[in-house]
Amino acid sequence: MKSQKSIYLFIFLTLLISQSCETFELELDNPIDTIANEEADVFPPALTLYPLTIEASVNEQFTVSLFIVKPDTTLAGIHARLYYDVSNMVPDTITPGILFTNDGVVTPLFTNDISEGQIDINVFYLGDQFSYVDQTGHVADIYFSALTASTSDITIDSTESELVTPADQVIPLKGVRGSTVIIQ
Amino acid sequence: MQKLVFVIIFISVSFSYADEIIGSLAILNFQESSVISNDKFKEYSRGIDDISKMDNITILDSIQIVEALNTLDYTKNIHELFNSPDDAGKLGKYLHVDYLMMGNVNLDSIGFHLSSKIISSRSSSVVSVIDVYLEDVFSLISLESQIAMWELLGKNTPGFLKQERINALPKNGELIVEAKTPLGAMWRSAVLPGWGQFYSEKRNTGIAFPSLEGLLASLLLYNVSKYNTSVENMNKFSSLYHSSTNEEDIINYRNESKMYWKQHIDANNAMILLAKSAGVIWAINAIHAYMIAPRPKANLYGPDPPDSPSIIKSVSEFLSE
Repeated sequence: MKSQKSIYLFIFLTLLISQSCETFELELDNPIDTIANEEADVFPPALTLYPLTIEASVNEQFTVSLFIVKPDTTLAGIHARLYYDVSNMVPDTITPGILFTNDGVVTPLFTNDISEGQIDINVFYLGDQFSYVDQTGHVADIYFSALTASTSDITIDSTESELVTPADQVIPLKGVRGSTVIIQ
Repeated sequence: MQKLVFVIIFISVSFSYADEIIGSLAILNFQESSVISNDKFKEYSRGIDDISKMDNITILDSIQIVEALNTLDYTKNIHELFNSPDDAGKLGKYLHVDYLMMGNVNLDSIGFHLSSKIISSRSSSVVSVIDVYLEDVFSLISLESQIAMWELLGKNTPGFLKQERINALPKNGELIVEAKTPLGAMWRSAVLPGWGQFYSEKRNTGIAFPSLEGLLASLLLYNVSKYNTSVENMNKFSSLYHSSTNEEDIINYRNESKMYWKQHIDANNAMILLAKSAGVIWAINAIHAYMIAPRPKANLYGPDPPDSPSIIKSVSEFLSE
């Protein structure tokens, strides 16, 4: 009886240990995280899209957010150029993020231009209003509608996109990160 | 490689150590000298004298036994030595003999019986036991009376009575009990640490091994729990990290996720180490049980010479003639 119990205990412990002996890899990759971006060779100041991967169904709406990561200087405006696959998705609306509006307190100049597969977003402070930002933050939200089942990328053009200081100086953009959209 | 060599050497040494069986024997004669010198016990005394002439055999009388036990600070009744193999083992070591032989008369549910034991000094374990019940002796006396009646009448004793007499006598070696064996101790300890040690009446190590295993098992379970909590928290904070868009929160969630990730690795390493340690100690416990277990052997001090049959056999043959 004793031996039977000890055999059960042994089997239980073996199962418990074998279940527990698995170790996991930790994958931390958030496009707003400077460390994660640096690990992906994207250095600040950077324009990134959040999230990195989007899953949507056909005819479903999904949102991609544009972020500026660690400008480390004063910014009075941003111009971002994005590309997307027109056959797979169509942009609906574009709204400003909370960084330049200071959570709705300030109203910067916010324009966007959507042409075939290309979106230009401009956000600028005008005159003496709340004149600059200097931190990581949310620039804009872009709402898309999924058209066909596919996998495609939304990318940021690092050469055409630019950051501007209150003195109208252009700050070089060192990194960009886009998103992958999986439509099912 | 070094570990393998160590294990092979350890096992070889333990097995060669275990094979050392034949050796010296001390017989503890608890009878008072005055009783032995009585006429009634002359035959008994002569038998003892004959045995004392054998090689490697020492016979100690009660005075010598008490003297030896006093040196060992043994405070209990000397007759309790019969049921205390540990103390008997110490006495054997003190006397520099490999085995101790002693006898005792007990009353149990069946009746009076004479019990004799041989105890190994090295392992302090009972090697062999012979039990003779007085019931058997009385049956034999009754049988002898019937045979005597036939003799008195000058008639031939019926064959069945002669055969009964032969059958009634214990045969050489038949009563030797070999209940405890090294393999018996080893499999017990392999199943449950310490069981084999208790079986060999080694209480200290019998408690030490399961205690050590229990401690390791407790630490193991603690680390299993720590591991599970760490994995749970790691997943929780990792999920929060990926869903957050606030820079400060992201840094905090990253740090928390990293901390729990490290904790789950540490707990996992500790579990592997503890499981290995528990396994090694379990194996050592089984080998230890084998090493300290009783070593039964029908004839401890070598085979009988062909012309010198054992006392029981001699009596049996004498009666059958």
